[in-house]
Amino acid sequence: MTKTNSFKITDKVLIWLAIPVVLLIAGLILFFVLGFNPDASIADSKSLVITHDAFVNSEEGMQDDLHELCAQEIKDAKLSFIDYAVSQNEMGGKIEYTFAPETENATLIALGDDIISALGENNTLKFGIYSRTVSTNVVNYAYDYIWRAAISVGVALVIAFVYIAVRYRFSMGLAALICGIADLAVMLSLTCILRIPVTTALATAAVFAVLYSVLVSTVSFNRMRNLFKTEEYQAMPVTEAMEQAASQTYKRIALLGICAVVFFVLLAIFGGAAVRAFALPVILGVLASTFSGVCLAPSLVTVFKVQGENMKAAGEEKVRLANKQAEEERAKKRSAKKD
Amino acid sequence: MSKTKSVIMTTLLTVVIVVLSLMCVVPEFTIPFRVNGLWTKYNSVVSVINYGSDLGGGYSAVYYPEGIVSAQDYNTQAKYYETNAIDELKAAGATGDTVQALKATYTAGSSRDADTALKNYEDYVGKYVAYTTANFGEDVIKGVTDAAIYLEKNEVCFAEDDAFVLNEEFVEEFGKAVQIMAKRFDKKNFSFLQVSKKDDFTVQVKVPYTATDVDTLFEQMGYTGNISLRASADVSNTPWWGGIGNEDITKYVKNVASSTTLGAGVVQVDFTKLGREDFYNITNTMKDNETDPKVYFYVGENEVIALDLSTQKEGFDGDTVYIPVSETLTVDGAENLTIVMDSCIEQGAIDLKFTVSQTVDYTVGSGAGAMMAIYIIFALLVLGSIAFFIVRYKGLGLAHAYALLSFLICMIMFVAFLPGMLLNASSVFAVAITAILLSLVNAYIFENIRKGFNTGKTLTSAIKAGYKSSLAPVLDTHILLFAIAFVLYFISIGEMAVFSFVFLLGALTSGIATLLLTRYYAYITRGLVVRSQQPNFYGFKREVSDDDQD
Repeated sequence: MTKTNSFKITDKVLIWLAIPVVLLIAGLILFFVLGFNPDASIADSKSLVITHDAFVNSEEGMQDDLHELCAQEIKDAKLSFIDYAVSQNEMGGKIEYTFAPETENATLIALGDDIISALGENNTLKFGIYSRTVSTNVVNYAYDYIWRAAISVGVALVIAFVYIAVRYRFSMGLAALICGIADLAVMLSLTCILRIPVTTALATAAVFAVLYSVLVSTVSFNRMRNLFKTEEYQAMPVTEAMEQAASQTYKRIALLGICAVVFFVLLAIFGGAAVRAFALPVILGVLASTFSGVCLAPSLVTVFKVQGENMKAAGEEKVRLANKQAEEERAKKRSAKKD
Repeated sequence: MSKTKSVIMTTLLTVVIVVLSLMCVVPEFTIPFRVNGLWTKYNSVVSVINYGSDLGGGYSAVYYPEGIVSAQDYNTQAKYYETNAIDELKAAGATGDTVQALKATYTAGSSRDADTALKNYEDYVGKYVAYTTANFGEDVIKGVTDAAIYLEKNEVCFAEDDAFVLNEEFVEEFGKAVQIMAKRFDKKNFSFLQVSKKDDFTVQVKVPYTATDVDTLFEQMGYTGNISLRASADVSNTPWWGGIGNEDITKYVKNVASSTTLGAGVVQVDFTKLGREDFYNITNTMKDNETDPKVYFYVGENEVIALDLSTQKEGFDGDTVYIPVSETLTVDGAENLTIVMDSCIEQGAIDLKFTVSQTVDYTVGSGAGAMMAIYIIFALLVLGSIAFFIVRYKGLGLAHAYALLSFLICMIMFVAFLPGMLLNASSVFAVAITAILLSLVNAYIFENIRKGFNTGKTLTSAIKAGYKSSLAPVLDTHILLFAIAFVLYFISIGEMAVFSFVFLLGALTSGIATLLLTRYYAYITRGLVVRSQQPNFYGFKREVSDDDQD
């Protein structure tokens, strides 16, 4: 049997519940005041487009040279672009640099002029014809996509609840459902509070967070289910058995969380803008699920089990009293008959 | 299994996994011998993977509403008229370097060609105004001193004192058109879609490389105007139903859907009661038309589908009519037309006309570097996992290594070869988390085997008991995740659908790799050492008992 620490995870359910609730309230306030921090791919942005003629297409790698020159000029102007896209056709092509929406048009126009002048001085590229345009972009929000994500998350949680309630215990299904909702709320709230730039990938990240939460819940409940089958645990009081079970699962959940976070942090750092936009909310989701898997889920199951035991005991007591009363009445009737 | 058999099987397994791994990831190279007399390049499986728009790129096109031209087009056209005017004015004896200077020295009417060239130039330049702060004020577009687009005067904007004001009706119509076009593209369910307003009055649409026949797609999605039913391909004739800005088409048509019959696209039109009666009467009359026994459905001025009545004995009488699309159109083309027609019914017609730019193939700049980084991080994850398992579980770790590599090879094959599959940021995470799931579950099973062995079981019975006690938890975890991903795949769209599908495949493959492959690989590799050494080979400490037999 595992030794018990003085610090008990399972008797602090209110504290564990208060954390996601506080974060959710803070997140909601910030959301209604400022909204999410939209990434340039879904928010207003500015772009500087350098258009070129077919000369640049005539030799392989020349468009890369053009990009290198532009990137150097952008760096010299102490500006930074969010991303860039290159395109070509038989008439020529263009490189479009995306900048933050607050970048001044005049700055970008001056930068474009500097690039065109620099191109005129470049030994290879000076033979091409170039032009520059500054554009503003306003992305149309994909509301249908967000609604689909909300429905998907709801359905995922319901499936998890039903499956765990049937295959494990009802209390575990309920705990998995609450943990899933809490994890999602914490992930979205922290994304809002930490002003992490979001794209439409946030919707997929929310689905990911729910799946991860379900995975963590099953890891936790698998262990509990196995332990509760043993005679040793059946003989223990509910709170003690739950505390023992929780202490045997938290290392596994923490290890899973650490592996996932390390891997996702590496992807966020080196994986480029698109991967980063997805990775940051996902990391928050993994951290939230790890917290709920270690603290919240066992505490909730304990509360539900204790409540269940109390109700069962109260029910048995009621039956016992009713039987006793019936027995007394029968005894009275028998004595009345004898008299 | 005997040692010889085990050595042979392990060698074969190693060779197969190494070869498959190399086939998946080895960089492109020229094959050092001729294939069918030609030098050929070898492309790895990874190189044929379609990347999502966020990692690879896609197709892009810009829609210009009538009355708006790009600065590039304006400048090209204005330059053409200017050069022409300068040449003609000089030929007519005028002097100077600019049109203004030449015009000052030119006597109007002295050359017809010069008059025409000058008029063309002045008409064109006078027709448009640059969309800048100087012309429209700060409230309209902040800080733009150099126009990206030009607006047609008296259509899109009006001169007022020294500045210009926008035509409110145009602004409202354009806003509505963007919403409708975004909904149309939404229905294509691409793994990535971006519909953005560019420079206030153009619409830029980006779709992934998986989109097919993109030129037709962009053209068809830009159809504007109402649905109409016509007797001929001549749009000047009054239609029976609808027409631009005319009759409400929902009186006749409930909805439009597409389907396929024998691989060909079919458009299905559902009528209202009035529509059914009217369509019967129209087709009953038109079937006897000797020159053109057809009825045509139009969207604006574009013919979308035509129903041939030449073989009909009487008119169509039914709630639904199925109309095969033109032979030149693909099934995707039929779907596009259906989406456009249905959007006219659901959201109403777009009253503006759009010109679509040439489709461009764009590449996301950070994509190539990002993918290389992702592959390196995956390689590190695999090596880390293998190293951890081999240190902790020794022989069982070797079985896990083979299982993990088999899992990744399968996932790469799925992403590369399953139709419609692609690798985007979210599917990278789906593969990663299912790989972590595989490692977690294998560790769980190995720990159960170790516990069984420590309680005094023989190695064989400890393995059997370990797998038996792990079966329910492992199955429950995989079935639950698989079921959720399966349902999500059918509910979600776009990037979420791709994520769900990759997760679904990952959960399935992880389950098979854990319960079947790892166990089988452990069985094969176990025979590499003599029986008495097998517990040590698995890193188990207890003394081996005599009855530890297969």
